[in-house]
Amino acid sequence: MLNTILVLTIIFLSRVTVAHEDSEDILNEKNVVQHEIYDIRNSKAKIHVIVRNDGHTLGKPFVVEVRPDCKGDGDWATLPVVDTESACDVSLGATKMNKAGNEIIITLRGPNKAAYNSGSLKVLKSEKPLCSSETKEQKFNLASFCK
Amino acid sequence: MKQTIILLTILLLGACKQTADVYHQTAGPNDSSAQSVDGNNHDTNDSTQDSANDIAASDSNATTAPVKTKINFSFATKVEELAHDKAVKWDGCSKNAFVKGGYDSDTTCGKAYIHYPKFAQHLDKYFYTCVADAAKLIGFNKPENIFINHMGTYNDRDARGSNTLSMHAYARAIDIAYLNITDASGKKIRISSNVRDYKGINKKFYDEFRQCWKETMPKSCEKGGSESIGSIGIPSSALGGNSLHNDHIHLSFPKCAG
Repeated sequence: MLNTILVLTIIFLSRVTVAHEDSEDILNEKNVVQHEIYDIRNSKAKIHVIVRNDGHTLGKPFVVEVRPDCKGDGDWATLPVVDTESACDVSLGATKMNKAGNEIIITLRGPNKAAYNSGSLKVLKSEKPLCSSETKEQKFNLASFCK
Repeated sequence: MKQTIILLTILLLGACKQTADVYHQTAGPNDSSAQSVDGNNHDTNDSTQDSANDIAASDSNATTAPVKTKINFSFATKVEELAHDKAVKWDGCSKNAFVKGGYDSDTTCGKAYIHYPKFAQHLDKYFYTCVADAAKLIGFNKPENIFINHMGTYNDRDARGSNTLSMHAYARAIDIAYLNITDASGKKIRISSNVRDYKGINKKFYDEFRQCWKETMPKSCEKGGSESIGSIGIPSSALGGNSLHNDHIHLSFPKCAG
């Protein structure tokens, strides 16, 4: 009897603990679709520009991240993200640094805002993200990094 | 000995139940703004008046407190069955609501699914208050209009990098990119949750907002990770962060909350 009560109590407590856990987003390095490294002029610092495709995120599956490595020897995954932009589509391979060396430019497309604002289940259930037809250049300013 | 153990077990079970009950009875930081998501159509003038009357009635002891003439959120009457749970549509365009919003826009409003009844009730009861508290800290008193620039609510998918459902699959989460707040004098401010802007008033606002949101959660969520505290992307932020939330705040009503 005593053992049964103890076992039941333990089971109950473990169920309470399990119930506390809600799944959260976890970085999956396999989702990285582009990783480019740029040198910062007159410095040993480098800038990592990571593009991930995390899939299913509503209308914005791509995430562009700027991660400065001020010592120039870090593992990108542990470097802090100092700037970021989510996008519906990214022009992979078209990322560039401007001539002055103080900006990273990446071409992307935003989502189809009107479609997602309609709240239509058909749109929300769409397997592919609905992107805007217009492309834009997103500029990431590097001037303040590694000072 | 046996009796003591049985008694302890009963007390333990009772304490757990009490924790849940207390949560459902606890008023928000400003309970006078609390309204129920009762399925009424809040978009009509009549129902808006009803809401105002309800607020006035619940606030009868505070004679000097202003009576709100608008509702916090406008939800549709129709309850819809989504893939995993029920939801109502939030009308981010309603002129009768303090809180409006749209997908990926500071000005274009839209509609979005919100879990019914739990998340809808929780947002309705606490969101405005937490924004108002945080806004006050940065010099904004009594927001007249809050426009949420969001990145979606309902999305039937797993959490990223996981094989278990995201809170978005239940419409229990909203990803907030920016908050556009207007006060009674017409003064406007845009609060960004992008990691690049996490300094100054943005930092002050979000630290306070997340602390407020965390306090609206029951004790059962205290050990549940960052889902219950409005997850943001900055690991060194006051309440910790999730590196996948670098350009938004993932505000959810996790399962641990009910």
